[in-house]
Amino acid sequence: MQNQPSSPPAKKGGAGVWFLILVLVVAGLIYWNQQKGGEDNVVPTNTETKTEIPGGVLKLGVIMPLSGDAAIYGDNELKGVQIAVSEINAAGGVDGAQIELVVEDGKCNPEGGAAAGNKLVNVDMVKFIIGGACSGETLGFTTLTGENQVLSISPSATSPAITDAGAYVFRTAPSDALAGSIAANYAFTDLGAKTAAIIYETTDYAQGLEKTFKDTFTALGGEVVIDEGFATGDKDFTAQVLKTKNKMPDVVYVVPQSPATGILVIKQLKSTNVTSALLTAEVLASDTVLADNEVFLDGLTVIEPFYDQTAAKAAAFLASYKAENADPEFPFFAASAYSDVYLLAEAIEAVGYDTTKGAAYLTGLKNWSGALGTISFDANGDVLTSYAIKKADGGVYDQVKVVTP
Amino acid sequence: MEAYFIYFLTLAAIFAIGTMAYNVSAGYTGLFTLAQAGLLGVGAYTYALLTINLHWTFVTALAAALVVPAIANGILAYASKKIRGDAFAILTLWFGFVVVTLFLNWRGATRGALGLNGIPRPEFLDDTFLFLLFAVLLTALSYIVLRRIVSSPFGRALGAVRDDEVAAVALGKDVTRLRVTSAVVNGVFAGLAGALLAMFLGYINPTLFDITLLVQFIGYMVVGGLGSLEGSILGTVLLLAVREAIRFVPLDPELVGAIREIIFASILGLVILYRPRGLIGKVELE
Amino acid sequence: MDIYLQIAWNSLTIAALIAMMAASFTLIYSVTRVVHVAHGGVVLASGYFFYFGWTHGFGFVGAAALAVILAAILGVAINALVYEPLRRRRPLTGTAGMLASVAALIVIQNLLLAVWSSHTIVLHTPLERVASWAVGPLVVTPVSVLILSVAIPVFVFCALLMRFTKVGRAMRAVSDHEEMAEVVGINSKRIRMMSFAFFSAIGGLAGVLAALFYNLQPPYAVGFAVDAFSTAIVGGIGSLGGTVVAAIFINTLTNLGGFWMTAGIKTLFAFVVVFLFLLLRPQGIFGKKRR
Repeated sequence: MQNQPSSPPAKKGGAGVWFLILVLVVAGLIYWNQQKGGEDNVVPTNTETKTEIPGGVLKLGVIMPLSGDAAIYGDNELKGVQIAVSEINAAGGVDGAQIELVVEDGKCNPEGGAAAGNKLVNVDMVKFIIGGACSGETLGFTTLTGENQVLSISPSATSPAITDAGAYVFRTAPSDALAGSIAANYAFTDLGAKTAAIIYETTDYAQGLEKTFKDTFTALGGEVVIDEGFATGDKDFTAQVLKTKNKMPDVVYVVPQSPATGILVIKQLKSTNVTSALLTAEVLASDTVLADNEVFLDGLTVIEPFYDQTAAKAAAFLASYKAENADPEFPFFAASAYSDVYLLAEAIEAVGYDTTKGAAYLTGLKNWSGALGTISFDANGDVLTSYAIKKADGGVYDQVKVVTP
Repeated sequence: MEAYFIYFLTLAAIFAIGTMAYNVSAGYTGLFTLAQAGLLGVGAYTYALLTINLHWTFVTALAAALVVPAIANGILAYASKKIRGDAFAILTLWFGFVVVTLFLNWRGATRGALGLNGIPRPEFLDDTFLFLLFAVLLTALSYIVLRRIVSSPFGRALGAVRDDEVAAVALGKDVTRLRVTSAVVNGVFAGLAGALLAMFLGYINPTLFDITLLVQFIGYMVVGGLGSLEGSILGTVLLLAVREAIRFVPLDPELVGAIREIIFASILGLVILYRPRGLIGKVELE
Repeated sequence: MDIYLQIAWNSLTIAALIAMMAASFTLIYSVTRVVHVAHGGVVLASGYFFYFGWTHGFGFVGAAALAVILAAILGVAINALVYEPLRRRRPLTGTAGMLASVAALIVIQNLLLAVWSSHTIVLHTPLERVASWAVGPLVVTPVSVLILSVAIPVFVFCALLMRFTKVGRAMRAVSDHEEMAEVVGINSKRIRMMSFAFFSAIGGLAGVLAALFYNLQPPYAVGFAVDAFSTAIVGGIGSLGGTVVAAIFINTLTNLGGFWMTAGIKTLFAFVVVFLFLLLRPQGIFGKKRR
């Protein structure tokens, strides 16, 4: 407020200084870029001999959500990975090399996944990654890992977009595309439902299931009378629940992202006396969750990837898990992560420390047996699996049916 | 290893643009908006949607990405005519929520939570190093433009509005128009940052732009210092560097997420308490 | 018609819960001028304390008491560590206090995450085995009855406290004009401490109820903070009655909007409600036009 533009000379000088700094920065960057030369993270593929594991230590990258809403997935899966690693290391490692984990937080979003991938690939120089747990973080790094021929396996990313994410991207969780349509088929054909309500969380996983359920159910001739989403973190489902009660559909397909949310939705549905048959996907399928919440979940039908928890390897894994930790919320995903480590170990032992050969080995791998049961990969790196339909009865899940698409 | 730094510097450059823009609104004009993450989101999605769904070219899509958030922020700032202080903060916070909700639910266009993949960037920017140069140049350009704006009589008027609104009105300044204009400026550069982010990551989804990102921007801006564009750049680079540095500390993976956030919050808290000007700010946080 | 009755009842229950959080938040603001968003963290922490007590043999009432007491202590601690030092450096008006509170909120949320992990904790108390009652066409759950039977006395108690007790009058004095209050011999620092203690305890009570009604996960801290802040603003920050009315108002409208159109975009309805409301009455329902 005092004065006239005192600044022209000073301002010009100021701008000049900054411009100079900019030129120096840019010049410095260009110079530095020339200097870096050919240090790349791409290991040339050697077709004859087996590539050795550098330094006798197998560095395995892990990208999982360690913070935020999805941390529970990261927690379960990381533990699965850690158990597998300690078992393998105790048995002598992979080709004699001990596995060393490098864990990064993917934060379940694309930027987190990209930053984590960036560090693992460019600083830690890993060639094999277990992760991400979320589709968002996975898609955040697959471009980078693809460019650097880094092989990744995800235990739980279910977005259909991952099918085409690259030749080096694999997953042991089936694409969303399937489970929803199996549920719709079961509802229409087996349960004879003509009308359905879908209550789903607005996440990539649940939105994917909602879409395939709706498409299949409608194609079969049914009518989806209520199709309501809810945001992550929502706790009050009055509107969705009461709309459902108003229409009293034959079946309600509930798709939460986490068990606690699912329990809340079902609690609110039942306490309003909604009597429709309840159907859900794998999030609520754990026996532990059922045992804890028997009162609310009785009569619930779940559809999950077929995972025989009583089979020898599965049972052994679960026992190891429970020995050190609280029961897993997502036993399937934990077992999936556990199996991923074994899959990678086996691939490396078979073809050496070479991601191109490793990818070839995994693609088209059929009938591999592990804690998840029998796994086969298709040409895109997606896992082929059957689905189990189970119903909660008296505190236990009884298997009703197994569907192989 | 170099590729790692390239990545880091590119991200820092992009976010720095967003922080400088934020400072124009909050630091220079005293309009404490909580919509910053939402504005970047609007810019990012505008660019992504136009290039992917409607096949617009790079230049036109980028231009649109500058315009849309600017308009949105302008409207919000106009509301500040009647809605002040804390109420305004709440309004802008909800704007951010609405933006995310919109992206999550408008599945026809945005594919909802699945996000948008394969966001194109012009071919000459395919190389990561070139993209870094591009980002740095844009940051420098933004800095120069914003610097001119805040040093101009207009900028001084903004300061008057921030420091003493009553006096400013008495001197005949149209306070609302000043606020709206500064909000538009913020919107333009926030949109730029958002579009660059979309191009850089190649994949965006709604969760990128939630309240966590907002808190990051608040941190960058306050630690760097209000009322200082240089401070915004510094704050962004510094706090991002801290975040990356924590990756190298061997911590229990179960705790690392919580520890990182606590460190960030502590830095912010300490700055507010003991150095409200931030590192090189000109305005005290009051 | 029946369904609307149910919507009303459910909205009322949630509103009561949110109003407890918002009222305690707004009264803290009224006395201390701090936008104490960390209150959301205190509320959630109380739920965790309750869980701790419940799983360590304190019994239902004992665990609730433990939670409430610890919440009060936490509130006082935040004031002592964050707001009082901030006060010494400048008069504590808006943004600095709010941002410092945001930092405190983040710290609390992540401490809860570090201690109790990201596993969502579902509380199992005998309450869940009590069946709902049918009151005419209405389905009434035991927890909703609990919430209302706690909330209503709490509001009445707060109102009476502020109006008729010495402490309450001192609080109002400090709220209206701190310097004058000091002149007549009121120790404003002590009053602030007591406000934090008492109102954090109320928030703690809300936290226990929320834990029973929903479940426990660290991200809820921010959710509670946003709900409390928004409701308080719409109600007129500093006004107890306004908060209650605002809570009922926002909640019912949002649920109706969700019911008539689509529930997934409830956020949008809330935004529209808040926006229009503030546009028409920026000082809130019962707010006074402050500076």
